[in-house]
Amino acid sequence: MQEISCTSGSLYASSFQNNATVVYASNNAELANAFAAAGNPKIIQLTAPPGSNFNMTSTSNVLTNVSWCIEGLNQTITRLGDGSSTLGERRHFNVWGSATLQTVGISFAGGNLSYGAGGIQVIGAGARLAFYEAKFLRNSAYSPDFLAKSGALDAGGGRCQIFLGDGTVFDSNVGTGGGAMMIRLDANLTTGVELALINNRAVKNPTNTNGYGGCLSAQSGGTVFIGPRARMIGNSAATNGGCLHVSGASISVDV
Amino acid sequence: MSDVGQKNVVRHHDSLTLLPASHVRIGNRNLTAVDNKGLSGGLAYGAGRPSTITIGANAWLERNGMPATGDGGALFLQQATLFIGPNFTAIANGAVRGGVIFSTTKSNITLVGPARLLDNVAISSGGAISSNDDYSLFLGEAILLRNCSVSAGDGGGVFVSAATNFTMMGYVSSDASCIVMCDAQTTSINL
Repeated sequence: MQEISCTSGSLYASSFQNNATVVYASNNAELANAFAAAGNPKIIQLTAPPGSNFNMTSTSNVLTNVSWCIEGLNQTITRLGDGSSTLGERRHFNVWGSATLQTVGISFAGGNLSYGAGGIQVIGAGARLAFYEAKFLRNSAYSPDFLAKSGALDAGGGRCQIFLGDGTVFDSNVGTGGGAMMIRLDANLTTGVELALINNRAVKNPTNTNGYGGCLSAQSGGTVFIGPRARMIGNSAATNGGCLHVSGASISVDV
Repeated sequence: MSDVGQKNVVRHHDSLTLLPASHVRIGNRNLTAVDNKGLSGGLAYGAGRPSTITIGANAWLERNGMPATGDGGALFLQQATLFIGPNFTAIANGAVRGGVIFSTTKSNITLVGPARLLDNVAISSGGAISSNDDYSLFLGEAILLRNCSVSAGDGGGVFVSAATNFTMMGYVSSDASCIVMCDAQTTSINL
Protein backbone atom coordinates (compact mmCIF):
# COMPACT_ATOMS: atom_id res chain seq x y z
CA MET A 1 0.00 0.00 0.00
CA GLN A 2 1.19 3.49 -0.76
CA GLU A 3 -0.08 6.62 0.79
CA ILE A 4 -0.01 10.37 0.85
CA SER A 5 -0.03 11.75 4.32
CA CYS A 6 -1.61 15.16 4.49
CA THR A 7 -0.89 16.61 7.86
CA SER A 8 -2.86 19.80 7.53
CA GLY A 9 -4.82 21.78 5.02
CA SER A 10 -5.53 20.06 1.74
CA LEU A 11 -3.87 18.74 -1.35
CA TYR A 12 -5.35 19.77 -4.61
CA ALA A 13 -4.34 20.44 -8.15
CA SER A 14 -4.92 23.06 -10.76
CA SER A 15 -5.02 22.33 -14.44
CA PHE A 16 -1.88 23.18 -16.39
CA GLN A 17 -1.87 20.63 -19.17
CA ASN A 18 -3.96 21.00 -22.27
CA ASN A 19 -6.32 18.26 -23.30
CA ALA A 20 -5.94 16.56 -19.98
CA THR A 21 -8.66 14.84 -18.05
CA VAL A 22 -8.75 16.05 -14.50
CA VAL A 23 -9.22 13.30 -11.98
CA TYR A 24 -10.92 14.58 -8.86
CA ALA A 25 -10.91 12.67 -5.64
CA SER A 26 -11.52 13.31 -2.00
CA ASN A 27 -11.18 9.76 -0.76
CA ASN A 28 -9.61 6.52 -1.80
CA ALA A 29 -12.63 5.01 -3.48
CA GLU A 30 -13.16 8.08 -5.64
CA LEU A 31 -9.52 8.20 -6.59
CA ALA A 32 -9.36 4.57 -7.65
CA ASN A 33 -12.51 4.78 -9.72
CA ALA A 34 -11.71 8.11 -11.34
CA PHE A 35 -8.14 7.20 -12.15
CA ALA A 36 -9.16 3.95 -13.80
CA ALA A 37 -11.82 5.67 -15.88
CA ALA A 38 -9.73 8.55 -17.15
CA GLY A 39 -7.61 8.36 -20.27
CA ASN A 40 -4.26 10.00 -20.84
CA PRO A 41 -3.13 12.65 -20.38
CA LYS A 42 -4.68 13.24 -17.03
CA ILE A 43 -4.18 15.42 -14.03
CA ILE A 44 -4.59 14.13 -10.55
CA GLN A 45 -6.39 16.53 -8.29
CA LEU A 46 -6.55 15.59 -4.67
CA THR A 47 -8.55 17.32 -2.02
CA ALA A 48 -8.07 15.91 1.40
CA PRO A 49 -9.16 17.04 4.82
CA PRO A 50 -6.37 17.62 7.31
CA GLY A 51 -4.78 14.45 8.52
CA SER A 52 -6.29 12.22 5.89
CA ASN A 53 -4.41 9.64 3.83
CA PHE A 54 -4.76 8.57 0.25
CA ASN A 55 -3.89 4.99 -0.51
CA MET A 56 -2.09 5.26 -3.82
CA THR A 57 -2.00 1.68 -4.96
CA SER A 58 -0.77 2.47 -8.42
CA THR A 59 -0.57 6.21 -8.77
CA SER A 60 2.22 7.58 -6.64
CA ASN A 61 4.42 7.07 -9.65
CA VAL A 62 4.11 10.14 -11.84
CA LEU A 63 3.50 8.32 -15.09
CA THR A 64 4.12 9.44 -18.63
CA ASN A 65 1.31 11.68 -19.79
CA VAL A 66 0.09 12.15 -16.28
CA SER A 67 0.72 15.48 -14.67
CA TRP A 68 0.51 16.11 -11.01
CA CYS A 69 0.03 19.52 -9.60
CA ILE A 70 -0.04 19.59 -5.86
CA GLU A 71 -0.55 22.76 -3.96
CA GLY A 72 -0.54 23.24 -0.26
CA LEU A 73 -0.10 25.79 2.42
CA ASN A 74 3.10 25.07 4.29
CA GLN A 75 2.37 21.39 4.25
CA THR A 76 4.86 18.61 4.46
CA ILE A 77 4.55 15.47 2.44
CA THR A 78 6.14 12.62 4.25
CA ARG A 79 6.38 8.97 3.58
CA LEU A 80 4.99 8.79 0.11
CA GLY A 81 5.22 5.23 -1.03
CA ASP A 82 7.52 4.05 -3.78
CA GLY A 83 6.49 0.47 -4.35
CA SER A 84 9.65 -0.77 -2.76
CA SER A 85 9.51 -4.21 -1.30
CA THR A 86 11.77 -3.17 1.50
CA LEU A 87 9.79 -2.42 4.58
CA GLY A 88 10.17 1.05 5.97
CA GLU A 89 11.70 2.61 2.90
CA ARG A 90 9.74 5.40 1.33
CA ARG A 91 10.24 7.78 -1.55
CA HIS A 92 8.07 10.80 -2.32
CA PHE A 93 7.75 10.42 -6.08
CA ASN A 94 8.97 8.50 -9.06
CA VAL A 95 8.70 10.58 -12.20
CA TRP A 96 8.58 8.50 -15.35
CA GLY A 97 9.19 9.35 -18.97
CA SER A 98 8.04 12.75 -20.10
CA ALA A 99 5.74 13.32 -17.17
CA THR A 100 5.54 16.59 -15.32
CA LEU A 101 5.38 17.33 -11.64
CA GLN A 102 4.69 20.73 -10.21
CA THR A 103 4.25 21.55 -6.58
CA VAL A 104 3.55 24.76 -4.74
CA GLY A 105 4.19 25.28 -1.06
CA ILE A 106 5.10 21.68 -0.38
CA SER A 107 7.91 20.38 1.79
CA PHE A 108 9.36 16.97 1.13
CA ALA A 109 10.64 15.57 4.36
CA GLY A 110 11.96 12.32 5.66
CA GLY A 111 12.01 10.28 2.48
CA ASN A 112 14.54 7.50 2.69
CA LEU A 113 15.65 4.75 0.41
CA SER A 114 18.66 2.54 0.02
CA TYR A 115 18.67 2.65 -3.79
CA GLY A 116 18.01 5.78 -5.82
CA ALA A 117 16.95 9.13 -4.49
CA GLY A 118 15.29 9.27 -1.13
CA GLY A 119 13.00 12.07 -2.19
CA ILE A 120 12.21 12.27 -5.89
CA GLN A 121 13.59 9.98 -8.57
CA VAL A 122 13.30 10.97 -12.20
CA ILE A 123 13.24 7.92 -14.45
CA GLY A 124 12.99 8.08 -18.21
CA ALA A 125 13.79 10.97 -20.50
CA GLY A 126 12.36 14.41 -20.86
CA ALA A 127 10.51 14.82 -17.59
CA ARG A 128 9.75 18.32 -16.36
CA LEU A 129 9.59 19.25 -12.73
CA ALA A 130 8.90 22.58 -11.09
CA PHE A 131 8.92 23.22 -7.37
CA TYR A 132 7.73 26.51 -5.95
CA GLU A 133 8.13 27.43 -2.29
CA ALA A 134 9.61 23.99 -1.70
CA LYS A 135 11.71 22.60 1.08
CA PHE A 136 13.58 19.31 0.96
CA LEU A 137 14.33 18.27 4.51
CA ARG A 138 16.07 15.24 6.00
CA ASN A 139 15.69 12.98 2.99
CA SER A 140 18.29 10.28 2.68
CA ALA A 141 19.63 7.64 0.31
CA TYR A 142 22.20 5.29 1.66
CA SER A 143 23.18 1.72 1.10
CA PRO A 144 26.26 -0.20 2.12
CA ASP A 145 26.14 -1.99 -1.23
CA PHE A 146 25.06 0.38 -3.99
CA LEU A 147 26.83 3.16 -5.79
CA ALA A 148 26.21 6.85 -5.39
CA LYS A 149 22.69 8.07 -4.90
CA SER A 150 21.38 11.43 -3.88
CA GLY A 151 19.33 12.14 -0.81
CA ALA A 152 16.53 14.32 -2.10
CA LEU A 153 16.42 14.53 -5.88
CA ASP A 154 17.98 12.46 -8.65
CA ALA A 155 17.52 13.77 -12.18
CA GLY A 156 18.70 10.61 -13.84
CA GLY A 157 16.20 10.25 -16.61
CA GLY A 158 18.07 12.05 -19.34
CA ARG A 159 17.44 15.55 -20.64
CA CYS A 160 14.97 16.32 -17.91
CA GLN A 161 14.40 19.87 -16.78
CA ILE A 162 14.02 20.95 -13.20
CA PHE A 163 13.15 24.38 -11.92
CA LEU A 164 13.43 25.37 -8.29
CA GLY A 165 11.57 28.55 -7.44
CA ASP A 166 12.80 31.41 -5.32
CA GLY A 167 13.84 30.49 -1.82
CA THR A 168 14.00 26.74 -2.25
CA VAL A 169 15.63 25.06 0.74
CA PHE A 170 17.65 21.84 0.95
CA ASP A 171 18.44 21.15 4.58
CA SER A 172 19.99 18.09 6.22
CA ASN A 173 19.68 15.68 3.32
CA VAL A 174 22.12 12.78 3.15
CA GLY A 175 23.29 10.71 0.18
CA THR A 176 26.31 8.87 -1.11
CA GLY A 177 26.67 10.98 -4.27
CA GLY A 178 25.18 14.42 -4.16
CA GLY A 179 23.99 14.64 -0.59
CA ALA A 180 20.83 16.36 -1.80
CA MET A 181 20.83 16.39 -5.63
CA MET A 182 22.26 14.52 -8.60
CA ILE A 183 22.00 16.18 -12.04
CA ARG A 184 23.20 13.96 -14.87
CA LEU A 185 22.64 12.70 -18.39
CA ASP A 186 22.19 16.12 -19.96
CA ALA A 187 19.65 17.15 -17.36
CA ASN A 188 19.23 20.82 -16.54
CA LEU A 189 18.62 22.39 -13.16
CA THR A 190 17.76 26.07 -12.90
CA THR A 191 16.99 27.85 -9.68
CA GLY A 192 15.48 31.18 -8.77
CA VAL A 193 16.97 33.53 -6.23
CA GLU A 194 18.07 32.70 -2.71
CA LEU A 195 18.57 28.98 -2.99
CA ALA A 196 19.57 27.68 0.43
CA LEU A 197 21.81 24.63 0.71
CA ILE A 198 22.31 23.99 4.38
CA ASN A 199 23.98 21.13 6.25
CA ASN A 200 23.63 18.51 3.53
CA ARG A 201 26.07 15.61 3.59
CA ALA A 202 27.57 13.13 1.16
CA VAL A 203 28.79 10.04 2.94
CA LYS A 204 30.83 7.01 1.96
CA ASN A 205 29.70 3.48 2.31
CA PRO A 206 31.88 0.46 3.03
CA THR A 207 31.95 -0.86 -0.54
CA ASN A 208 32.81 2.12 -2.72
CA THR A 209 34.62 5.40 -2.77
CA ASN A 210 31.67 7.71 -3.20
CA GLY A 211 30.66 10.39 -0.82
CA TYR A 212 31.20 13.32 -3.15
CA GLY A 213 29.21 16.50 -3.61
CA GLY A 214 27.91 17.34 -0.15
CA CYS A 215 24.87 18.96 -1.64
CA LEU A 216 24.93 18.56 -5.41
CA SER A 217 26.72 16.46 -7.99
CA ALA A 218 26.52 17.38 -11.68
CA GLN A 219 27.78 14.72 -14.07
CA SER A 220 27.67 13.50 -17.64
CA GLY A 221 26.59 16.63 -19.41
CA GLY A 222 24.40 18.01 -16.66
CA THR A 223 24.04 21.77 -16.51
CA VAL A 224 23.21 23.71 -13.39
CA PHE A 225 22.30 27.39 -13.18
CA ILE A 226 22.00 28.69 -9.64
CA GLY A 227 20.34 32.06 -9.27
CA PRO A 228 21.43 35.12 -7.33
CA ARG A 229 22.01 35.26 -3.61
CA ALA A 230 22.42 31.55 -3.03
CA ARG A 231 23.61 30.43 0.37
CA MET A 232 25.76 27.31 0.79
CA ILE A 233 26.48 26.77 4.45
CA GLY A 234 27.77 23.85 6.44
CA ASN A 235 27.64 21.19 3.74
CA SER A 236 30.18 18.39 3.79
CA ALA A 237 31.46 15.50 1.72
CA ALA A 238 33.42 12.47 2.75
CA THR A 239 35.49 12.79 -0.41
CA ASN A 240 35.49 15.61 -2.94
CA GLY A 241 33.33 18.70 -3.23
CA GLY A 242 32.04 19.71 0.17
CA CYS A 243 29.02 21.32 -1.44
CA LEU A 244 29.29 20.99 -5.22
CA HIS A 245 30.82 18.26 -7.36
CA VAL A 246 31.26 18.61 -11.11
CA SER A 247 32.40 15.84 -13.44
CA GLY A 248 31.98 16.35 -17.16
CA ALA A 249 29.30 18.92 -16.46
CA SER A 250 28.94 22.60 -15.63
CA ILE A 251 27.71 24.70 -12.74
CA SER A 252 27.09 28.43 -12.96
CA VAL A 253 26.25 30.52 -9.95
CA ASP A 254 24.60 33.87 -10.56
CA VAL A 255 25.87 34.46 -14.05
CA MET B 1 58.00 40.33 -15.82
CA SER B 2 58.45 37.34 -18.03
CA ASP B 3 60.88 34.61 -17.31
CA VAL B 4 61.78 31.03 -18.05
CA GLY B 5 64.14 28.82 -16.19
CA GLN B 6 65.15 29.59 -12.63
CA LYS B 7 62.80 29.65 -9.72
CA ASN B 8 61.10 33.01 -9.67
CA VAL B 9 60.22 34.63 -6.39
CA VAL B 10 58.40 37.93 -6.12
CA ARG B 11 58.56 39.22 -2.60
CA HIS B 12 55.99 41.48 -1.13
CA HIS B 13 58.11 44.60 -1.39
CA ASP B 14 58.54 44.20 -5.14
CA SER B 15 56.73 46.61 -7.44
CA LEU B 16 53.28 46.83 -5.94
CA THR B 17 50.45 48.70 -7.57
CA LEU B 18 48.05 50.22 -5.08
CA LEU B 19 44.39 50.22 -5.80
CA PRO B 20 41.93 52.71 -4.42
CA ALA B 21 39.67 51.08 -1.90
CA SER B 22 36.67 51.98 -3.98
CA HIS B 23 37.62 49.20 -6.37
CA VAL B 24 36.37 46.66 -3.89
CA ARG B 25 32.73 46.50 -3.01
CA ILE B 26 32.00 44.56 0.14
CA GLY B 27 28.23 44.83 0.24
CA ASN B 28 25.69 43.18 -2.00
CA ARG B 29 26.92 39.68 -1.45
CA ASN B 30 25.65 37.29 -3.99
CA LEU B 31 26.74 33.72 -3.50
CA THR B 32 27.55 33.15 0.16
CA ALA B 33 29.44 29.94 0.91
CA VAL B 34 30.55 29.35 4.46
CA ASP B 35 31.88 26.36 6.41
CA ASN B 36 31.64 23.81 3.64
CA LYS B 37 34.03 20.91 3.94
CA GLY B 38 35.21 18.15 1.61
CA LEU B 39 38.34 16.09 1.32
CA SER B 40 39.35 18.24 -1.67
CA GLY B 41 37.38 21.27 -2.74
CA GLY B 42 35.66 22.40 0.42
CA LEU B 43 33.01 24.20 -1.58
CA ALA B 44 33.30 22.76 -5.07
CA TYR B 45 35.27 20.13 -6.94
CA GLY B 46 35.46 20.08 -10.71
CA ALA B 47 37.27 17.40 -12.68
CA GLY B 48 37.34 16.18 -16.25
CA ARG B 49 36.66 18.10 -19.39
CA PRO B 50 34.38 19.82 -20.10
CA SER B 51 33.77 20.54 -16.44
CA THR B 52 33.28 24.22 -15.77
CA ILE B 53 32.47 26.19 -12.66
CA THR B 54 31.36 29.77 -13.11
CA ILE B 55 30.71 32.12 -10.22
CA GLY B 56 29.23 35.55 -10.80
CA ALA B 57 29.89 38.87 -9.15
CA ASN B 58 30.06 39.59 -5.43
CA ALA B 59 30.67 36.03 -4.24
CA TRP B 60 31.76 35.53 -0.65
CA LEU B 61 33.62 32.37 0.38
CA GLU B 62 34.52 32.01 4.04
CA ARG B 63 36.01 29.24 6.21
CA ASN B 64 35.60 26.54 3.61
CA GLY B 65 37.89 23.50 3.81
CA MET B 66 38.66 23.94 7.49
CA PRO B 67 40.26 22.13 9.16
CA ALA B 68 42.64 21.64 6.28
CA THR B 69 43.01 18.01 5.24
CA GLY B 70 42.95 18.11 1.42
CA ASP B 71 43.71 20.44 -1.47
CA GLY B 72 41.66 23.46 -2.49
CA GLY B 73 40.04 24.87 0.62
CA ALA B 74 37.18 26.29 -1.39
CA LEU B 75 37.72 25.15 -4.98
CA PHE B 76 39.53 22.21 -6.57
CA LEU B 77 40.02 22.00 -10.34
CA GLN B 78 41.49 19.20 -12.40
CA GLN B 79 41.27 19.47 -16.17
CA ALA B 80 38.55 21.98 -15.58
CA THR B 81 37.72 25.62 -16.10
CA LEU B 82 36.97 28.12 -13.37
CA PHE B 83 35.71 31.66 -13.93
CA ILE B 84 35.00 34.01 -11.06
CA GLY B 85 33.42 37.41 -11.63
CA PRO B 86 34.20 40.77 -10.07
CA ASN B 87 34.19 41.70 -6.40
CA PHE B 88 35.16 38.24 -5.26
CA THR B 89 36.02 37.76 -1.60
CA ALA B 90 37.65 34.72 -0.01
CA ILE B 91 38.40 34.82 3.70
CA ALA B 92 39.92 32.28 6.06
CA ASN B 93 39.67 29.27 3.83
CA GLY B 94 42.24 26.54 4.33
CA ALA B 95 43.82 23.48 2.71
CA VAL B 96 47.01 21.49 2.44
CA ARG B 97 47.69 23.16 -0.92
CA GLY B 98 45.75 26.17 -2.20
CA GLY B 99 43.87 27.70 0.71
CA VAL B 100 41.21 29.03 -1.65
CA ILE B 101 41.94 27.39 -5.00
CA PHE B 102 43.96 24.35 -5.99
CA SER B 103 44.16 23.62 -9.69
CA THR B 104 46.02 21.03 -11.67
CA THR B 105 46.38 19.27 -15.01
CA LYS B 106 45.59 21.75 -17.75
CA SER B 107 42.98 23.74 -15.94
CA ASN B 108 42.12 27.34 -16.77
CA ILE B 109 41.57 29.72 -13.87
CA THR B 110 40.31 33.28 -14.26
CA LEU B 111 39.54 35.74 -11.51
CA VAL B 112 38.56 38.87 -13.36
CA GLY B 113 38.87 41.02 -10.25
CA PRO B 114 38.69 42.96 -8.19
CA ALA B 115 39.32 40.03 -5.89
CA ARG B 116 40.11 40.03 -2.19
CA LEU B 117 41.97 37.02 -0.82
CA LEU B 118 42.40 37.49 2.90
CA ASP B 119 43.66 35.36 5.77
CA ASN B 120 43.64 32.13 3.83
CA VAL B 121 46.07 29.41 4.79
CA ALA B 122 47.75 26.40 3.24
CA ILE B 123 49.85 23.87 5.05
CA SER B 124 52.40 23.35 2.27
CA SER B 125 52.01 25.74 -0.67
CA GLY B 126 49.84 28.52 -2.05
CA GLY B 127 48.22 30.23 0.91
CA ALA B 128 45.48 31.48 -1.38
CA ILE B 129 46.07 29.78 -4.73
CA SER B 130 48.11 26.80 -5.86
CA SER B 131 48.26 26.30 -9.63
CA ASN B 132 49.99 23.20 -10.95
CA ASP B 133 50.58 22.25 -14.57
CA ASP B 134 47.72 24.44 -15.73
CA TYR B 135 47.03 26.08 -19.06
CA SER B 136 46.47 29.48 -17.53
CA LEU B 137 45.99 31.43 -14.34
CA PHE B 138 44.73 35.00 -14.54
CA LEU B 139 44.31 37.23 -11.50
CA GLY B 140 42.95 40.68 -12.13
CA GLU B 141 43.23 43.41 -9.51
CA ALA B 142 43.81 41.01 -6.66
CA ILE B 143 44.34 42.09 -3.10
CA LEU B 144 46.19 39.43 -1.14
CA LEU B 145 46.54 40.12 2.55
CA ARG B 146 47.74 37.92 5.38
CA ASN B 147 47.58 34.69 3.41
CA CYS B 148 50.26 32.19 4.31
CA SER B 149 51.69 28.76 3.65
CA VAL B 150 52.66 27.33 6.97
CA SER B 151 55.24 24.59 6.77
CA ALA B 152 57.17 24.59 3.52
CA GLY B 153 56.41 28.25 2.95
CA ASP B 154 56.11 28.19 -0.82
CA GLY B 155 53.90 30.98 -2.10
CA GLY B 156 52.29 32.73 0.84
CA GLY B 157 49.80 34.17 -1.60
CA VAL B 158 50.13 32.26 -4.85
CA PHE B 159 52.15 29.21 -5.80
CA VAL B 160 52.53 28.44 -9.49
CA SER B 161 54.11 25.28 -10.81
CA ALA B 162 54.59 24.56 -14.49
CA ALA B 163 51.83 26.90 -15.57
CA THR B 164 51.95 27.85 -19.21
CA ASN B 165 50.58 31.33 -18.72
CA PHE B 166 50.38 33.16 -15.43
CA THR B 167 49.12 36.74 -15.32
CA MET B 168 48.59 38.86 -12.26
CA MET B 169 47.51 42.44 -12.76
CA GLY B 170 47.38 45.31 -10.33
CA TYR B 171 47.78 43.58 -7.02
CA VAL B 172 48.32 44.55 -3.41
CA SER B 173 49.83 42.17 -0.94
CA SER B 174 51.45 41.78 2.44
CA ASP B 175 51.46 38.03 2.50
CA ALA B 176 53.94 36.11 4.57
CA SER B 177 57.12 34.75 2.98
CA CYS B 178 56.35 35.89 -0.55
CA ILE B 179 53.45 36.87 -2.70
CA VAL B 180 54.14 34.57 -5.58
CA MET B 181 56.43 31.64 -6.11
CA CYS B 182 56.79 30.17 -9.55
CA ASP B 183 58.89 27.13 -10.24
CA ALA B 184 61.27 26.49 -13.09
CA GLN B 185 58.70 24.97 -15.41
CA THR B 186 56.48 28.02 -15.52
CA THR B 187 56.87 29.33 -19.01
CA SER B 188 55.22 32.73 -18.99
CA ILE B 189 54.79 35.10 -16.11
CA ASN B 190 53.19 38.52 -16.40
CA LEU B 191 53.07 40.71 -13.32
